[in-house]
Amino acid sequence: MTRHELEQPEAELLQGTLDLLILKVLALEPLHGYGIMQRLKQITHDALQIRQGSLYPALYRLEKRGFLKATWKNIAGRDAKFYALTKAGERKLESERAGWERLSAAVRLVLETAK
Amino acid sequence: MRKRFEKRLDAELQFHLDAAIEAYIAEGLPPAEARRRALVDFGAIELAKDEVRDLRPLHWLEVIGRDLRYAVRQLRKNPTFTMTVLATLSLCIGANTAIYTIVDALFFKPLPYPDPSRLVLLSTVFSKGGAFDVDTSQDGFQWELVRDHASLVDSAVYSGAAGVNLVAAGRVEYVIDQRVSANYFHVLGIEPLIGREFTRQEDVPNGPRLAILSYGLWQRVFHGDSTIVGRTIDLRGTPYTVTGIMPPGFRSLPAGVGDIGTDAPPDVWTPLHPTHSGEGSGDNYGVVGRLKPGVTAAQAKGQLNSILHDYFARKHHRGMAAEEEAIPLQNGLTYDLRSGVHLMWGAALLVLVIGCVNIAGLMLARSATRSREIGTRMALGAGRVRVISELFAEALLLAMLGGTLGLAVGYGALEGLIRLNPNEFNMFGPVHLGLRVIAIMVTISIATSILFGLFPAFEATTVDLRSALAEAGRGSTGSRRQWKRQLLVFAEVTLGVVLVVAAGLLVRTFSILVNASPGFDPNHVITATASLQDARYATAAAGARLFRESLERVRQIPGVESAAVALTPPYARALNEGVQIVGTDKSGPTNFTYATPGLFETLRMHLLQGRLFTEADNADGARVAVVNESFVKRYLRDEPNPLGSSIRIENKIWRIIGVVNDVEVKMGWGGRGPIDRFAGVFVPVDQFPDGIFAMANVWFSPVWIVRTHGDVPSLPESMRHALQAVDPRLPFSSFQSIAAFRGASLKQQRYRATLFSAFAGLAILLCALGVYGLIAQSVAQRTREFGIRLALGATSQDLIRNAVLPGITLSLAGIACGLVLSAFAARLLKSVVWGIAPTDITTFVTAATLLIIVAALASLIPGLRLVKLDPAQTLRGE
Repeated sequence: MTRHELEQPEAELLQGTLDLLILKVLALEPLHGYGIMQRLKQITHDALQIRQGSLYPALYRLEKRGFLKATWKNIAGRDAKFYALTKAGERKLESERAGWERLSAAVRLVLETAK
Repeated sequence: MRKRFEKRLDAELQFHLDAAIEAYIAEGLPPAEARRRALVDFGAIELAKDEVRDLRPLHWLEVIGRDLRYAVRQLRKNPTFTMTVLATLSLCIGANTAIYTIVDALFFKPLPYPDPSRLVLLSTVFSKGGAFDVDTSQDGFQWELVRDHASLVDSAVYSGAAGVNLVAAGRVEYVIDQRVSANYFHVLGIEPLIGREFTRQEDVPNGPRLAILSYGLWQRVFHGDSTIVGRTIDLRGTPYTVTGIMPPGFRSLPAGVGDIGTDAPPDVWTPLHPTHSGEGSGDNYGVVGRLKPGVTAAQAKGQLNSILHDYFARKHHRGMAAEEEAIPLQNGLTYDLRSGVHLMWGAALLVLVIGCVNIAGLMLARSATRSREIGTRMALGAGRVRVISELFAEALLLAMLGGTLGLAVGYGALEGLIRLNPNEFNMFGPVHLGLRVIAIMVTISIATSILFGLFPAFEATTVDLRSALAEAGRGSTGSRRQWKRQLLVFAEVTLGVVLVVAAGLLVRTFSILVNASPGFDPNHVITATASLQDARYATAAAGARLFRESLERVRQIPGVESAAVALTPPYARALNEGVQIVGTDKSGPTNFTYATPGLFETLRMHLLQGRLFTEADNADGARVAVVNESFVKRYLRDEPNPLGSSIRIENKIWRIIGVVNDVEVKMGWGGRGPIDRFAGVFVPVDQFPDGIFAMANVWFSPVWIVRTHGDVPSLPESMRHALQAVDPRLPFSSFQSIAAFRGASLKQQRYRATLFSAFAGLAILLCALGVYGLIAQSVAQRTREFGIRLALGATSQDLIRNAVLPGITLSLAGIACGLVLSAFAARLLKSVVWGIAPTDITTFVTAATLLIIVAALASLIPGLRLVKLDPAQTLRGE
């Protein structure tokens, strides 16, 4: 990584939030790993620093727990693994989102009242 | 499956990279730069893959496999360590496997009868103050009361087994007969395979002569002919009607009632005809019972004591309170073995503890030498869990290998152990290594290795990386861990001393007993027994005639110097009879034996006073007796001259005509030692009362004692001919040297001494390994330091002293501590040590000396390596 790429400070991903982001992105449509990465970059305008290598363990973990299901599709002559949300995954997204909102509301409250 | 997983993972990641590269190319970067960027963005691919792999199903199996492979490599890299741990484990597990198999078979494994937990042995518990004694032998009065009134227990009587003569298919055989009452097989819950057991109506004094055959005898002698049931066989010289055949594998109750008779398994059962007179007037019966459904042992006990209340009140118990108990059958039968076997078990466990301490020390040493390797790996990013799991795999592997080897060792040791004391250990059937014991031993092995393998593992992984890397290889940090090892070696030596002292006490006991002067000349004496439990020898006169005529022929055999017959040989007890000195109030027990003239001469016993028996001391002559020294000491001390005193036995008066020296006898009752001297009375067989003659021959088989000039190999054959010429239907059962009797009477002492010696040897070996390991490690770690010292002018003697002294000091401390501990432990041995005090100074000093020598050698051997130390090379080493 070269120095000039760090002009804009990137936010470190909070532990455990990667799962939530993946679930949210996949709630729109099934995507492959690269696609998820691209979508996240696009939405956040490159504001989040996500180690690409950590994406795949997260995907496999979610798949193993039954929140995602994977299918292989052929795209332009190449096989790609597409991930989609299961029913359990949808419920998981809801509870994760609720959890996140409670947390961020609490953090905001602290930041604003403790001025 | 794993390959497919890898392929898919690769494909998925490849797709990601390709897509990323294409995106960069589309942005206008040259392909090489695009590829570089994509890879940089992705980060460590292998790390990501590893993380993904960890999530794979059954991944843990693979990890274990990998760890095990790594463990194998590690163990092979260090063969000395591996072999030492494996040897320690296998010997300790082996010893415990063998001992525990026997403990299990005797005390824990259910008896081979249906619903064995309901079987009880009716026993009288005598108590006075806090002390109590359990007597499992009962008399006829007790039995009749129990039989007629105890409604809560289904009960039966059995007696000791003895040899009898069976004539069948033109052959005479000496077979083992056990006398049992009606209902005996029913109580045990095993019905005859064919036919039936004796009925209550048949099992009365002077009832019909009946027999039940064992499956083995039925096959061997009657070739499995089932028409034998209902027919008669020639047993004890008269016809007996066969009523049944027992199924194969049936195991009768061990017939050690009152310590007489044989403990060999019976071939045939005959009715006991229990009464309260004769045999039944003494404690000669075992009473086995089965609690009726729903009845508890406590309820049965309550009923028994109300039934026996008057009986106990009438009977004189020397001021002791008597209470009847229905004790679990297994406990009752093994009651006398308990303390001896527990001792053996304790010793085996002690060996195991020493072994564990040794393994802990080895593991600790190993983690010290490996701390650098572990430090390096942790610095390179290996997780703590990862390293511990590898050490864990190593410990597990050692446990499995050691456990397996241990079971093999145990299998062999078990065979040897049983051979030392077969009848006792095989009491409830042949003892085999069982799954239960195997499971327990494997568990112990794994627990040991993991416990002692892992605690150093935690130790190793908490090392401060920097100091480990900087110093472990140079080795002066050892001291922190060293004191733990020193503590372990100290503990090992302390426990080792206890075992060596215990073994020393038992070996000395055995050697004192073996070397005790037997009171006769045992060389060139052969004995043979024959059963006179025979209708044709119901009277003393008939027996005396047989003895006289057969002895005349035996004395003709070339090489025979002299021969005689007695009820029992030296080392074996005879009848326990009450004696009273006529004209005094002195009375008490005595060992009562019949003998033919020539017995004392044949045994070369010494006549101290008076005369010995002659042919003239026959049925027509006056009743005479020869007594031994112990008898004189006990009963005739106040008489000016024992000769001429008269004694009353069985209501007959005998005049004492001679005094002979004592011979060693194994009494088995009266709280005596293993073999000892006891007040004995010999009377001529012609004058023996008929009633007890028949009874005595039921319990004992008389023994022909023959002294030869040197070896006469053909003697048994010649003696058989001699006996057959007198009575063709009377076989000799076995020919034994008199030493074999001594061997049999000391077999418990022998096996204990052997076993404890083996354990002590093992303990010494383990202590030596512990001390050796400690010194060797410190020498290895301090090589550099020693090299510097040598270079600075120290002599190699200084270095050796410096290296070796800690081992010796440590051992001395351990030995001192061990001796103190032994003084306490020796109290537990009180019941099995004979002829010396349990705190015998000689034994303690010898044990200490032995261990000092071992510790010194174990320290010196690694220490002497320093002689060859080359300072230049050592300093260049790192």
